[in-house]
Amino acid sequence: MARIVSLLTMLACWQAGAGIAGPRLLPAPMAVGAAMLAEARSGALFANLGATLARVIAAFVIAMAIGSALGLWMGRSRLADRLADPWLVVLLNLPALVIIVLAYIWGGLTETAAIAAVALNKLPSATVTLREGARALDPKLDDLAHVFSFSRATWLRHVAAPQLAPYFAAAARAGLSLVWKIVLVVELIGRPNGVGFEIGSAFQLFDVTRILAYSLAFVAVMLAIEIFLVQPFEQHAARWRPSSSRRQN
Amino acid sequence: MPRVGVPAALDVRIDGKFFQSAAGKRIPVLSDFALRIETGEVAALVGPSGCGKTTLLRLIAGLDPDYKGNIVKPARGRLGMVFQEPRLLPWRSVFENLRIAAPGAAHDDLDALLTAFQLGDCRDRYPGEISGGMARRLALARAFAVEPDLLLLDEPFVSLDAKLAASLREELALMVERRPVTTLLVTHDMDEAITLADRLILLSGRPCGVIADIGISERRGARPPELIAAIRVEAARRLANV
Ligand SMILES: Nc1ncnc2c1ncn2[C@@H]1O[C@H](COP(=O)(O)OP(=O)(O)OP(=O)(O)O)[C@@H](O)[C@H]1O
Ligand SMILES: [Mg+2]
Repeated sequence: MARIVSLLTMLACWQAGAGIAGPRLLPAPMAVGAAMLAEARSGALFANLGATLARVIAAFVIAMAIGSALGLWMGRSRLADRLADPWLVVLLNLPALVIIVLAYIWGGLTETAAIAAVALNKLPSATVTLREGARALDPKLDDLAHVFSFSRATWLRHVAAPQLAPYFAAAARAGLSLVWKIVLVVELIGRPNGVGFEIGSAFQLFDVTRILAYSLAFVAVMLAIEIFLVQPFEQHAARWRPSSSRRQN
Repeated sequence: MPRVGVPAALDVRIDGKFFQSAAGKRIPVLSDFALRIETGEVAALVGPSGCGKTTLLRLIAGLDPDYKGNIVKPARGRLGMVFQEPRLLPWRSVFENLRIAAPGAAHDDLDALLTAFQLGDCRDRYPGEISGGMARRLALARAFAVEPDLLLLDEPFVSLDAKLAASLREELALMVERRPVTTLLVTHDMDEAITLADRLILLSGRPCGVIADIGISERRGARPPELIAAIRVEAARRLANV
């Protein structure tokens, strides 16, 4: 309920702002909605959303998979931590734009270069988060695994994964919003389609309506992923917790 | 089905086990400590709090390689252990906690084990939803589920009410009767040690040493109260002599 009120207030502010700024700088919500509908009718909206979403998913999956493995390894092994930490610090502090430009220069204006650049941007923060989780693994449960000779797979699935789930969810949530923002930049610079490309061409025409139509459509898609994928995952991972300690929405 | 295993002897010799204190001082916990338990024997370790019993079990379990000495365990023996606290996987159900520890066991056997420890009703509950006493029972059931050749029990009945503790002691006696297993039982309860064990090993405070090693020849379960009383007196005498 509180969320709906907040959302409606946001819309009202937008409408009021549009009245003051004029339709060229800030088109009213209805105008943006109409533009969105027109793009949807022509099919362009879904083609571009689909292209962007595919890049987001590819980069996200790659970054989370490598980041989780690397983070787990670094959190468990001092040597691995010492070896990989400088790389991580460099990568963490490299501006996204530098990684993107270099990826395009070295890899050409290709899909691979685009996805690699986005994944590389997300990788270090996912690694750091999962490393934190790996460091917090309960040594008592590792003792248990040792005494009962759990296999590596059993340890990973039944001992480590449940403890890492909150860290994984945090990395996924932060990662998703980061990845899709960077995907837009990557598309703006070197892709012939996608939401980022559309926003780029709308920018050249100063077409604020189209910019808002595309970005809001994509925000809606990401919101849906958060609500229908990330939150159910968190709930599933927390199902063993006694309900009194579970966070109430 | 009772399986007649091939439990083997446990031979422990610890020349030195130290812990580093926060101030950097080396504190000896075990030194010149030797202990041998014969195949299928149940030995009870009784000693003051903080003398190093848990440390000893951890060394035997292979959880702490940082010591001087030598520990020979039953060859290719499965280890079953009950930690001083239940130590369950909170995100797995009661049944899954058993199944994960004993992946080779038949599900029917695991269910039978749950029933034996009166846990049949909460098979599908999570550890956070069962009582402390139930969690202790589950930890015991888990140690038996792996059909161990060496059993390490760290005060498994502490903080249980007297009736429950008694019924669990009976269950433990029954289990080691059915399938002999070399067992090391740490306890503070002299009566518990005398009823359950073939041997009573009394330990001194730090550094931990063996004060007395009292064998009990009478079969477990067939010990008359007079015998138990006599051993208790004997143990008290040996403790007082130190
Ligand atoms: N990780 C550790 N670091 C430093 N000192 C330790 C550590 N673990 C145990 N100790 C010390 O070693 C001694 C033996 O501890 P241990 O837990 O083995 O005692 P215990 O005989 O099991 O006692 P209790 O009957 O109370 O369980 C204690 O004095 C304890 O302070
Ligand atoms: Mg102890």
